[in-house]
Amino acid sequence: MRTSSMVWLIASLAQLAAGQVPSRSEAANARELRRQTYSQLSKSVFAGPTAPVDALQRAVSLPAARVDEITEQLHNLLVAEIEDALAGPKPAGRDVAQSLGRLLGETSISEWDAQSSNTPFAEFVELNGAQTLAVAYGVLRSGGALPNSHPYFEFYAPENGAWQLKTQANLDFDRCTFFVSPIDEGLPGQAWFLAWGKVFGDTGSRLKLRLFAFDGTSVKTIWQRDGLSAGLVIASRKSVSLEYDKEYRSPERVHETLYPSFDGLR
Amino acid sequence: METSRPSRFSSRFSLSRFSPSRFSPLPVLSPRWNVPSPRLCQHRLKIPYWSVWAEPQPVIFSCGGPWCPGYNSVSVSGSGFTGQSAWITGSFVDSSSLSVMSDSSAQGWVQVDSGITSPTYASVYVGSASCVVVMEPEPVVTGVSTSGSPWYSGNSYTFAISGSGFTGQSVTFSSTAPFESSSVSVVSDSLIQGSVTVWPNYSFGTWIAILIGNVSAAAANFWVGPPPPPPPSITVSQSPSTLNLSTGDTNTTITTTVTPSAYSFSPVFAWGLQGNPPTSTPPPCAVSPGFSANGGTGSVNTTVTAAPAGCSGIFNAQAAVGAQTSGVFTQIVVPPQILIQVLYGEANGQAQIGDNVSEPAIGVTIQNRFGDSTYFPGSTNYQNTITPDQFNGIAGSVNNGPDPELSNAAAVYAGTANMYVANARCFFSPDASGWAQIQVALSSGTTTIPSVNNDPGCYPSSIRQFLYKSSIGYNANRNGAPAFIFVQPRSASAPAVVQIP
Repeated sequence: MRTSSMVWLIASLAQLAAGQVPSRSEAANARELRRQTYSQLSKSVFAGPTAPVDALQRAVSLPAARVDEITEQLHNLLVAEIEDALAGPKPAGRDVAQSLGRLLGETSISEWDAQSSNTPFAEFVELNGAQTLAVAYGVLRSGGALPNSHPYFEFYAPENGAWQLKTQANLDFDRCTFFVSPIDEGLPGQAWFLAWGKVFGDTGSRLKLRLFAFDGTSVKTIWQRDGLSAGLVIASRKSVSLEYDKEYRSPERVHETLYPSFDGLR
Repeated sequence: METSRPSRFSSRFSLSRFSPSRFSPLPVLSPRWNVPSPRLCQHRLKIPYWSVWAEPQPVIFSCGGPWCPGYNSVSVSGSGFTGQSAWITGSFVDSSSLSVMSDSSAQGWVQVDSGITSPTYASVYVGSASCVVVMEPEPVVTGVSTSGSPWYSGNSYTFAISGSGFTGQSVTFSSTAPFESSSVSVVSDSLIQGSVTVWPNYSFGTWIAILIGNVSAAAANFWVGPPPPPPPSITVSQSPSTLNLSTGDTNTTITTTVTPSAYSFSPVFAWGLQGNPPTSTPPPCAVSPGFSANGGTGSVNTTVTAAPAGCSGIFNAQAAVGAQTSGVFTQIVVPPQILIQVLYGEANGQAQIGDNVSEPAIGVTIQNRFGDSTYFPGSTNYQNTITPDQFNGIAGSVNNGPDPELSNAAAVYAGTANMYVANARCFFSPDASGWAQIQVALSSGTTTIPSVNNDPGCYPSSIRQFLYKSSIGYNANRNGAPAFIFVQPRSASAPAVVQIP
């Protein structure tokens, strides 16, 4: 990234921080610079299939602390992108997801493999008369044969006239594929989402699932399953169908259909 | 003339001093006797003239010792003994007898009380002369050690005798004839040490005692003799030539055979670590073997174990019987237990249906990750590669070496599996629908990786390649698919699925 662009980006961000609303062209330029910044940063922490071998070796050998540090910087840019996308008139979930996808580029989990994620995901929900946006996405780090994915599941709400990050789910899907699907809530006044994934490289293709409930303020895990070998999921708003080996490498398959109830899925 | 007195009683007088036969030929005037009292003189008037001569003053030069509990011979030397009485007194003297044998010698014996616990003194008198003799507790031997036994001709040995009451005791060999050189000395009250060198041509067998004082009870005995006859000519062999071992195995044996079959032996094993692959930093933990101490005739089974648990190593072991070693080694292969466990957990079912390809194939696939710092950084050995999140089938309850998992793990670990999986570093078991898609992709040569269930997602899909290994058996769960599909990287333009033998 050129130094002059960095100076401009910092000046623009300072403007925003000072409450000065940039013009439309300034906002477009800021978005472009954000993408450039994200692209440069992400290349230091992740090497995709087209990256040269030396870039791949640099990415996979980056110290964990440095990986976390860069991940945090990438996340700040992603949050800014989401808030920017929500700043327009009548924002749609699809627009936010597309905007995120453009910024994530190769670092999106779904770019690794179509089977590895349905994110970026963005969907508006109305809770107690207020609009909230649920957003799920993930950042790929490392590269090599097994990506070090780091997913996010966040909730945004308007505050003082601007959309802001309200809260985020406590996820344990690092190094995993990552899927999110809305499901009918079992309790009024909440929005429920089912998330699932598998560890990249797992010979057993073990499935884990988490059901998150968002009440407009906070999000918590209300149901979970782990270790379903050769697990498959079919999720709809009304039900969740699971299929998995009774035991690892058992010829016997288990089929379950679960429905939302007040305390999770049954 | 003898005097015999009870212990702890003594008298300075004896009738012997009046015996004419005990007069010295040149009597010295004794101040004690040269002026008899008038009363005595009156009495002595009846005594012949020469009898009134005063006796010479006795002087004791030596009276021997020390004495030990029991009977001790007593020999006193000096001068002027003729005509003197002689006796012994002391608090631990039970009885004694001492006679003047000549003008310069008195001899006899003394019985020292066995209750003596510390050095005590006794007095020996010859007339007015006296000397002091120490009486010491009897030495007691409680332990004997030597650098070798028997003491063979041509060899040197040291020895030590432990016990009590050694101080002041003389210590000698009962014979030094077998020895070219010898020494022995009292080091302390509780220790005697010595050394011997047996004559090279000494060809007799004999007991040699180390005598402490004069008490036979305190002797230590050593057998001195020529070397034993050499063992009969034997041949030693061992089997098997290769042995696979788990650190949890306790019943794996090496058989040592000696001819002639009547020869009784206990083999001992020498071993050396040959390797512990893979080379990594830090290196994998290495096992050390252990061998049981069995003996017998003909063929003897020695149980081999390896520790610490979970570690690995390849080493050679060679049996020895005396100076005779086996002409062959046994190569002992101890694969990491985690490798045995993952082969068992991932493919034991396949082995049960006769699929002897699956286990070594997945083992080699795991091994391929080592040293691949580009795609599998951090995978440098079995322990840090076979992790529970990557391998569903780690049979943690398998803590020994069942077959065929042990032999397959050993072959993979030792690099002798000879199993081709190309550059595969991942594997999975497709379901029936996934296998159908893989077959379609294989036959079409497409560069688009098929989307199949259970694909572990190794490598980005654009450079992911499935390997169909045709020698792999069908899945034991009878879903109609091969038990395993392997995964390796490819160029984006290469087919998504290829077949290997």
